[in-house]
Amino acid sequence: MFQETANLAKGEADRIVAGNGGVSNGSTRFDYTNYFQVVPSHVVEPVLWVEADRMRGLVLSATSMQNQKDVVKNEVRVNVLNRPYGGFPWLDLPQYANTNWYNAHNFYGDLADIDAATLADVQAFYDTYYVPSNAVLVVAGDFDPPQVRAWVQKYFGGIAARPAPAAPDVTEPRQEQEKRASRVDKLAPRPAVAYSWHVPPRNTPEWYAMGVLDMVLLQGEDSRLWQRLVAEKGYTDDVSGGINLLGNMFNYEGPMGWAAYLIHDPAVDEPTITREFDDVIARVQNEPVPRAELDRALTKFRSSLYDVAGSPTRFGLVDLLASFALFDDDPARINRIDDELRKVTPDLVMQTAREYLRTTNRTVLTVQPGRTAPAGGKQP
Amino acid sequence: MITMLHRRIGRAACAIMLTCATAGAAPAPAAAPTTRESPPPLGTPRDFRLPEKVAYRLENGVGVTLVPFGTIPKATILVVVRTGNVDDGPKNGLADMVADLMKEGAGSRSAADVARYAAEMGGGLDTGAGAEQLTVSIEVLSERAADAIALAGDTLRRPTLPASELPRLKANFVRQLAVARSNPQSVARDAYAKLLWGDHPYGRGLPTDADVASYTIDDVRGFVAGSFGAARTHVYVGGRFDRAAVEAAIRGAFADWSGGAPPTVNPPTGTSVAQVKLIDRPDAAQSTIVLGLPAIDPTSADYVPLVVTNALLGSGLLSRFNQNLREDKGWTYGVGSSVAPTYRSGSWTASTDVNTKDTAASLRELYGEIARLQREAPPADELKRTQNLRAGAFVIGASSRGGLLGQLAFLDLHGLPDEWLTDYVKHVYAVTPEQVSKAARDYLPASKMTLVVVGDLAKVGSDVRAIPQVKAAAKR
Repeated sequence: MFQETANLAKGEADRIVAGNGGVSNGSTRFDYTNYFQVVPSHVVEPVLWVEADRMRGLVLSATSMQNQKDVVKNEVRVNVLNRPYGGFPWLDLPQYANTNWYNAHNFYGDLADIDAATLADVQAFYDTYYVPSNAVLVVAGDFDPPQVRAWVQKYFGGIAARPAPAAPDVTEPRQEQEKRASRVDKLAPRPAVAYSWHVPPRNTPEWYAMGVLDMVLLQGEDSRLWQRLVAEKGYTDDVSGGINLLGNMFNYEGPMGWAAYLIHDPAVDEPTITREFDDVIARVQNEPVPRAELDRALTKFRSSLYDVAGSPTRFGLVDLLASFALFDDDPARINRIDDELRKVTPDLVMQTAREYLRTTNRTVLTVQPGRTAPAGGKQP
Repeated sequence: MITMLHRRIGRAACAIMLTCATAGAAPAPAAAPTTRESPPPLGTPRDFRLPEKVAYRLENGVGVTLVPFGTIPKATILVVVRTGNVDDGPKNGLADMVADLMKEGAGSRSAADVARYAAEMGGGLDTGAGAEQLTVSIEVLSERAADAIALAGDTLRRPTLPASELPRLKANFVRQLAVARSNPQSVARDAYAKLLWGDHPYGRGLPTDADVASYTIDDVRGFVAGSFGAARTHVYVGGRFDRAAVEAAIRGAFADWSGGAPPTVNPPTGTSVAQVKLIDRPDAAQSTIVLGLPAIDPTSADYVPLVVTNALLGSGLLSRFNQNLREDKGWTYGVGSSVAPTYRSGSWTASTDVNTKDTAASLRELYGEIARLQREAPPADELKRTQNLRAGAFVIGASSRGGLLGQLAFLDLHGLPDEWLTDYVKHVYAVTPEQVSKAARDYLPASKMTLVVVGDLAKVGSDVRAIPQVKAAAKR
C-alpha cells in the first residue's frame, strides 16, 4: 500500500506527504488496518487524492514485494527475535488465551509465512478487503468541512462499489479451565509472568465495568495491583497491561483480553506472585469498591480519554471515530463513553469481577531466562 | 501500548500537526506518461505561531514560564532542576536513585497518599534524572493545576526519602539494568557513550551492580541537600489553567526557598579520533550499528544547517539512509540519525539494526551516503522536501503540552533567546544546498567517527574490519 499505483511511482506518495511536512504511516491490528497521514491543512486535498488513488488499485511488482518482505522480516527481527522479552506478552498471550484460529495464530508473521506469501495472495487480499464498503474515512483538524466533503466526493465517489467481504466468526467459547503456558527466552535476564482474562462483550454494561476495573486494579501507581506488587511486596518495579494490548478497549471488535504482566527476580516464584494476584482479585469480587475509589477510577479514565481524543496529533481522535464508525456505524458513540462509565455501580463491578476475573477464565504465561548473562550484555 | 507500524521509522510514535508554515512546494510533479493522473495542487499554507508565553523569576531565582494554550481541559506541570548525573560524584547513577526515592512520600503524605492524591487530580507524579536536568512532572485536569504545583513543590522541597524503601528501589534498579544489558541497542549505546565521552560523566554508561549496591540513604539525602535549590529550578506550566491560581501556587510552593549552590558546569570535550568497538552477540539475528561523533551545540550558527543536513541523511522514510538501506535494499526496518545537543556539547549519531548477513554492506552504504553528500550539494527539490519535513516536525513537536514545554526548557538549558524558537522555521528554510554539503564536510568527517557494532562477530567481524574507514580507525 506504500509502494506503487498506476499514477504514482514508488516513493511519490511519501514525497507528497512527508515532503510537505507531514507524517504518513499505518498499522495492522487484529480486525482492521489503518492508514493515516498528519499534514499541514494546505496538503489535505493532495492527500485525499493519494488515499483514493491507492484504493482504486495498486501496481504489484515482484521487486516491491521482495523489498517489503525483507523489510517486514527485519521488523520481526528487531521487535521480536533479537530482543529480550520479544513479543512478550502482546504477541504471546492472544495465541495462548484463544482457541479460534482467527484469534490464536501468530499474527505478526512467522518468517516462513512472510516468505511464502505470493503476489497473487496480496492481490486477492487487496481485492477482497480494500473496497469502499469495507472502509471508513475520517478527517479531523483545521479545515473547512464543506470543502473537504466536496474533495472526498470528488476523489472517492468514483471508486467502483464492490460487495463487502463476509466477516469471519471470531467468537471464543466461554473458558472453563485455567490455561498455563511457559517459554524459554534465551535473551532474557530475569523471569517474567503475564496473566490474561477474556473480557465482557463490547458495549455491554459489564464491559464498561471492566474498564473501571482496569483503572482500579492496574492503571497508575495508586492502583491496587501496583500498590500490592510494587510498593508493598517489592516483587517488581512495574506491573503493566490493560484491555487490548495492541490499542485500547474501544478499537478492537473481537474477543479482547485484559492482561497484566511484570518482570521479577528469580528469588520470587510465579506461585507467590499469583497468590497476590488472587488475593487482590478476590477483594474486588467480594467487597464493593468504595465510592471514593470508584470516583478516582472515573477521573483517571476521563483524564486519559482527554489525552487520547485531545491529542494534538488528532490520531487518537480519528482512531476512535473510525473504530466506532467501522464497528457500530455510530461515531457519535465517542460522546457517550463518559455517561456509560458513570452508570457503572459498585455492585456491577463486583459481579463483573466474579464472572470475568475467574481463575478458570485466566491464562498464565511464564518466561524463563535461558542464560543468566546474554553475550554482549556482560558487565564491563 | 504496542502498535505495529509497518513503516515505523526510528522510535518516533505517530505525531500530528494542526497547521504549518511550510512554504508551498509543489507536490512531486508527475514526470510520467501523460495517461497518468497528477495529484491536485497544494492549498495556501496557513501561518503557524508559537503560543505566547509569560516568563518571569521569583525573587529567589526560581524561573517561571506559563503557556496557556490548547482546547483540552488539562495542564502539564514540569519542574526542572539543573542537576543530574553530572552531580553523581563517584557513584554512577546516584541521581537516578534520588529521582526514584523522591516518589516515596513528600510533606505529610506517604508514597501511597501521593499516588492516590495525584490520581484524584487525573494524573501521576513522575520524576526523572538526566545528565543535566532532574525533573518532576505531572499532568492533571485543569481545575487541579494549582494543587498539582503544590505537590510538585513538596516533592522537591520536602521529600521524605525513607531509608526503608532504598533496598527495594536498588533491587528494582539492578533488575532494570540487567534488562538494559540484554538489549542490543542499550549495549551499543552504552559502549558508544563510553568511547565518545571517556572520563566525563556523559561517558560513564550504565551503572554497574556494584555502583547501585554502594548507594546509601546519606548519599541520596546529601545529593538533595547539595544540588537542589531555587536558583537552579524552573517551573513550566502549559495547557489550560487559571493563571492567577497557578501563579499563587508557584509563589506558595517555591518563594521561600533558598537559592542553593550554583549548578555544575563541566562540558565534555569528547573524543577527537575515531574509535571502533565490536561486541559479540552470538546467533544474533541482526547487527546493531551505532556510528557518530561529538558535534556542535545549539549556540553555534551552524547548528540549524547541521540539523537540516541530518534530516536529509537520516530522518524519516524519505531520508537517504532509509531510501537506500530500507526502501532499496530491504536490509533494515529503519535507520535513524539525530543531532543530540547537550550543554555546550553535542553529538551526531546514526543507528540501525540490520540483517546479520548485510552488516558490512550496510556500513559501507552509510559511509557512502555521507561521502556523497560531502562531495555533491543535494538537489534543491530534495532539500526543499527536507526543510518541509523539518518545519513540519517542529510544528508537530510544539503542538503538545509536553513538547512545547520541552522546547522552552531546551531554550533555558542552552541559554538561547526566544528568537531561537520563533525564527527556527525561517532558519530551516534559509539553509542552502551548499551549506548542507559543507555541514556534512565540517561536522561529519568519517575519519573521526566512532563505531560500535553489536552482532554475531563470527559472521560479521572480519567483513566489518575490512571496511577502509574501520581499518583506518583500528590503526590508531
